[in-house]
Amino acid sequence: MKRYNTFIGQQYLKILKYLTDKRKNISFDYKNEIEKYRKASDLKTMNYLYEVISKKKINIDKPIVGYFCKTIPEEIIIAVGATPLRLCNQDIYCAEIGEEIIPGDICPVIKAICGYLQNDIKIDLLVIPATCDGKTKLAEILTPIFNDRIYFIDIPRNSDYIENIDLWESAYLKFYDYLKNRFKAKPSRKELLSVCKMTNKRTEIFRKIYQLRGEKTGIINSFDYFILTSASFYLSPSDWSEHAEILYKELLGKVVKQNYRKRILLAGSPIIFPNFKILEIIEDSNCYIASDILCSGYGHLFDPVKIDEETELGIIRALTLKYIAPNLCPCFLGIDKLLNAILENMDKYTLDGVVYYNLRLCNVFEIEIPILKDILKNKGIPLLVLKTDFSREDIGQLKTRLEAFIEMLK
Amino acid sequence: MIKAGIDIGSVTTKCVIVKDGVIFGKAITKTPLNIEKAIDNVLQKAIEEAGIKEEEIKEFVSTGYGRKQCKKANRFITEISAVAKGGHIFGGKKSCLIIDVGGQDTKVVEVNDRGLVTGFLMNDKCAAGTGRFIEIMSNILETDINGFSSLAMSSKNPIKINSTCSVFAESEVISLITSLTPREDIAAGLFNSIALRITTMVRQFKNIDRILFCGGGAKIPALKYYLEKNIEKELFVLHEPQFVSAYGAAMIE
Ligand code: SF4
Ligand code: SF4
Repeated sequence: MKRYNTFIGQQYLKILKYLTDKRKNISFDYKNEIEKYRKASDLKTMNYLYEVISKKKINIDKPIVGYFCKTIPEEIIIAVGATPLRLCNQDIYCAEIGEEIIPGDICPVIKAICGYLQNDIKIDLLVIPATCDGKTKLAEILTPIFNDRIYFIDIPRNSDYIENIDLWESAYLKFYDYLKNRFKAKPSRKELLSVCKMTNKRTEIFRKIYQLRGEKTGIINSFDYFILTSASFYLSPSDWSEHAEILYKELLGKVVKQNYRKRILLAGSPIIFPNFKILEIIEDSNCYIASDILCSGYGHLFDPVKIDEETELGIIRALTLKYIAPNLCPCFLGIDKLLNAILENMDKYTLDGVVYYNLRLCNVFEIEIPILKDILKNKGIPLLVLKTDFSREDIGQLKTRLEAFIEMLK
Repeated sequence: MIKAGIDIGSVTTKCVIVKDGVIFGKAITKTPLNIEKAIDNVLQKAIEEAGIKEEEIKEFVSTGYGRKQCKKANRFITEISAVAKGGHIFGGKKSCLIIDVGGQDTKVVEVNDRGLVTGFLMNDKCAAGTGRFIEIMSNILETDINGFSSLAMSSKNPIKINSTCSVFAESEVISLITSLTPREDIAAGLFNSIALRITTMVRQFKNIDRILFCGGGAKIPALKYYLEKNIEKELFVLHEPQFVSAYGAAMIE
């Protein structure tokens, strides 16, 4: 990234200093939230995963590469000997801090990211993709703080892999070269391959849990599920797989007690701890999230690397396919993929309806709603859009909407 | 069979006593902070009017935003299903679209010929397009809701109001007053802007042949007038518009 330091006025630097002081007042351990959701859990293995989230258990022996979004290939970060850390954040307090850096009608995730970066994790490199406008500009805004510790990955907005695979691939190759230089690493083809095997293992176990959740109503509540997926932001793929495997065994032996009224598919904006507001509303109404296609869980873990040709280029191409071919994010062209994923899930798990979470001020998700509504209506699939932000004052209203939706499903 | 329907809205609490589908007693009161008190209050009044004893009531169904706080209720349903049920019966049991303008929220509910909800929209968390907005604006124009409505109806030249947010609309209205714009034209402009907002919600539905209108807002002639003008359809104001949800709650099977 170019340096913009010379352009930075006194005001900006003052804000940064102020923020550094202010962050001391925030606790990033989320004791209350963790307690609340852990209480609702009846799974032993979850204890450890809750701890991962509250203690932010990451491998700090290696340099840390923080990144946003599921379009960043973790595999190559691991291959160069760094720890990837997905920094997507939805904390209301972080968003308040971020407000001071980026005020105005901007997506709260962008603000929360700014706030979250004030925590104690030392980030050696920050990787930001050109997905939505907010993220793109974030790279510039954060440059004065991160200087040359920032990398902007310019991926094309068309995720049609037949048309655009070369562009994506070259963006990834450039990134890989950059990482190799930066961390003075020359991973061999074998090393890269073994990292892919590791993430594939993770995908395998994730898919088992995903399927079990869809088939057995009540087997895992949505707090536990999203803590499990969020834990993959921190844990290495092999550590995560190990615990997910234990969890899977526990789930197989579990006797379901709770009765749910309806089984739904959750789609829309990502859900990231500690902002489990939508989950609370859904759980409170006794609805079972039997499936989801959010980029924070499903999108992050569901797809494998399928390698045809075991050369370095072949592996990078396989990674490109893993990250673009199934990409459902509305930042990119390709709503047909989203629709197919919804229809497939509805069918496979015989679900009652779709709840679409629309984070206020995120335009890309909102803009898809009319098309989605139209198509789902034609297919006879009930859809409820819940539009909200991180604040809690509209919980009553949202509950009414959801309950009316459930009454409608009867 | 005698049933009671209680609709605990954010501004008013309503109760109806229904015997074999007919309203025998009804009462309405402002919803205070102490919701329990309001419930007791309307229930007693409605019982009195119906000339029955409380023990005769076989089922209590509550609806509205405070529904869960009604201890007497045997059942809770959302105001969406309640207004759909009530509107469907009052409206002649045909498929329809119901516009319900209440104190804090405005709903548009699509109902099929069997009285089941097939789609609905509610306004966002702000007050734009709700009864609360109308109340605030009538205060600024130094009149009450009836006066506000008559003012609007007498305007020959409604002006365009751009803001629907109550805070911004307030400052826009004040600057219009100081620039000596006739009050009736401002009033008409305000109703038009509310109607426009509700019209956008209505337009999201395909079947808008039969539109029913209820809630406190249905009692305001200017709102009806401007809604009809914008939607380009006649609206049928339901019998006892404020009690439609309470009645629907009592009638839920
Ligand atoms: S919503 Fe899209 S841009 Fe945002 S993190 Fe998810 S995949 Fe990335
Ligand atoms: S929520 Fe939407 S606007 Fe916000 S960062 Fe993600 S894609 Fe961008």
